[in-house]
Amino acid sequence: MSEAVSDIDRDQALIARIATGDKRAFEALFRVYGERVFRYAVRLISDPTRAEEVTNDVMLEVWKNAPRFEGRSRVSTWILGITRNLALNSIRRKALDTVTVDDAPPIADESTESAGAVALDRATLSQGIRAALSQLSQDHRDVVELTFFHGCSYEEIAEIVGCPEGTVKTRMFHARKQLHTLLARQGLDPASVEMAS
Amino acid sequence: MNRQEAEELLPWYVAGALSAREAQAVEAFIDSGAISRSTLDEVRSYAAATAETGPDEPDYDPQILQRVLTRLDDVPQMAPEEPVVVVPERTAHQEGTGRGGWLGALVERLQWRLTPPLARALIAAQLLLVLGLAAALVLQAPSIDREYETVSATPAATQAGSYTLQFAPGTTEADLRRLLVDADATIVSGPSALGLYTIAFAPDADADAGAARLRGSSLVSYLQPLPPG
Repeated sequence: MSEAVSDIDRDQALIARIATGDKRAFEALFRVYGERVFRYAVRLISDPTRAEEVTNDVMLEVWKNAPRFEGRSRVSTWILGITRNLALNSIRRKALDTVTVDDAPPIADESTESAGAVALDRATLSQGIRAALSQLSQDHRDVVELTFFHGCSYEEIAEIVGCPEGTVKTRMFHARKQLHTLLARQGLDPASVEMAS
Repeated sequence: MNRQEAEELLPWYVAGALSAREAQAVEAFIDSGAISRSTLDEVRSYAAATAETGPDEPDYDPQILQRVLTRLDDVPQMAPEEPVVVVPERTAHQEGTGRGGWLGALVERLQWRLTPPLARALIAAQLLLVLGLAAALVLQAPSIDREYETVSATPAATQAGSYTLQFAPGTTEADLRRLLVDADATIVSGPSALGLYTIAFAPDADADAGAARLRGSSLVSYLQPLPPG
């Protein structure tokens, strides 16, 4: 799975110590999760300043609620769930421009797919994929980010996002389809470059 | 798992976020060629691009930690939730003993098995004491065959000018007889379990005057006319 058992145990132990008011344990947990929380937030809300505020708030929520953490889920799942909620609240408050499922960009005609696809270098393709990701609906992008950036299982994503596991898989399926189409429009073929072994 | 299900799980296979059993199943479809290499490479491309931080993405500022630490004292921690007592699941053996049904449900609900042995003994002793006292009371109580009644209850059949009457405690039979004769009344029925009599005045007697006489006597504690019926 995405996390080694020792990481899970370490996180649980840190939360248990934080629950007793141990600031050093909080600091240790922050060093593990601070950047992950920031990255997730900034990709959700596309605003670094606000993402920092969200990171602050998420970690303070962790501090505040650690005594009530019951260990029903992994610590990482719990923290990412808080991050998502606070980031979405921030989006609602500030009415930032986001793409909803309904507003998702239309999929290009099949006839245009692969037209002019050329072999590319890795950096160009990565940039193209990130650009395409930013055009996905938030729900679809969320599933992709949580899977590939945070290494979450579909079960964990279902818990973080608050939807059935089947919905997570469906969202991923549509996200892949849209990415493929958006890249084809740019003449990019994601299968043409060996990104990782 | 069929091919479509395996392909749905491909992103989590690439991310290393599947169980060993699921990963094996997906791998089998890849090895057999049912899931193409190009599909796998495409998903790997998405994974790699998503996992890396792009050059246009803002840097993470580690100073966030210091800012949060300075605010920590202003954020009180929540009190822990009330401890939840976990009742162990009933084992198959216990299921087989037949202690199911309402008794089993009651035992579980009362968390009897989690009650300390000393407390169990005290509760059982208390229950036995209560049951013993109840049994003693029942056995020593005089047999009461008469039906329950209220003072205002109407006898089955009454004639016009009938009254319900109760004599004061200590009234002798001689006093009772003298009083009724003076009032020109006779006992129709009684005494009941409550010591109530139904009396009636003679048809030619002045019932109101007789009733007034009875009420005026210190030997009568209760007198009420009965509705005819």
